[in-house]
Amino acid sequence: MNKLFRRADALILLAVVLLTAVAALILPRGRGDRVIISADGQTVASYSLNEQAELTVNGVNIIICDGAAYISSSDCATEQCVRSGKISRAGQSIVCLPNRVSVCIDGAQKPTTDGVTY
Amino acid sequence: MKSKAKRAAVLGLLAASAAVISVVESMLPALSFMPPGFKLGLSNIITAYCAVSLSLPSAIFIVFFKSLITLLFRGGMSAAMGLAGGVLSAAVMHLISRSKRVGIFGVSMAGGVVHNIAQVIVALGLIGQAALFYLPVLIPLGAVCGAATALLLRLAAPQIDKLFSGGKP
Repeated sequence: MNKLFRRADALILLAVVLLTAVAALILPRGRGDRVIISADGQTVASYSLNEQAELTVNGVNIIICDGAAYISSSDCATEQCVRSGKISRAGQSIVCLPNRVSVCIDGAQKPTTDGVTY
Repeated sequence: MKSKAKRAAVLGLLAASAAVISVVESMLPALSFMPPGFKLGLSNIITAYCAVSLSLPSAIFIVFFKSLITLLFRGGMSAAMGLAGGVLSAAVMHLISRSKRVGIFGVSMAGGVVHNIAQVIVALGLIGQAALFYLPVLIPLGAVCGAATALLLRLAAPQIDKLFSGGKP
């Protein structure tokens, strides 16, 4: 078995950091403008976050209200998606994998904070 | 001299252990900011051991067996993602470990990152563009979990070696 640390490991770590930075920078962040709902890999609906809307896709009930989007109910087994809460900022998304549905926020503005912990 | 029967038996033991670890860790409470089904990847200790110390086919066997158990316990979705992530990660770990210049840390970190990227790719096909948003979280997490796996592997590897060679673990 190889030793724990070798010189090339630092390179791998560097590569990982760079990869993360690239991934983070390429994806949109900040206050969201539009809600994009996809099912089975295709975009099925696109709403402005300011609209009020309610729709059901593949058995997943999605509500857009007061500048946020969330999944109110779903027929999937674990209902992880329902418990995911509300999203309102670009880059955030709620996903229901069993039903292959995703709700994500697209936006163009720069972020202020990414999150707050107490 | 390792007898084939002994190797088969120990490999079976390892596969069962990997499956159990995988199922138990998937029962941990899900974190809200993580994608559903996020796991620590502790069972990859065994996959990594096989990919590095044994052979790629044995590592892939471990991954397939784990996936089969996952299929029974968690469903097709998790099984498919685990399969994709596991096979690719095992292949990459095997290839990287061939080089003397890379240590366990690097091998395991690369394995963790590749595993997660492969899962995102599978998710891309299922849910579309949204899957990409998980990348900035999953890539570093894959590396962190890979690093943790490396440390555990360092401790576990000598014991697993002894199972094969017949000494007392």
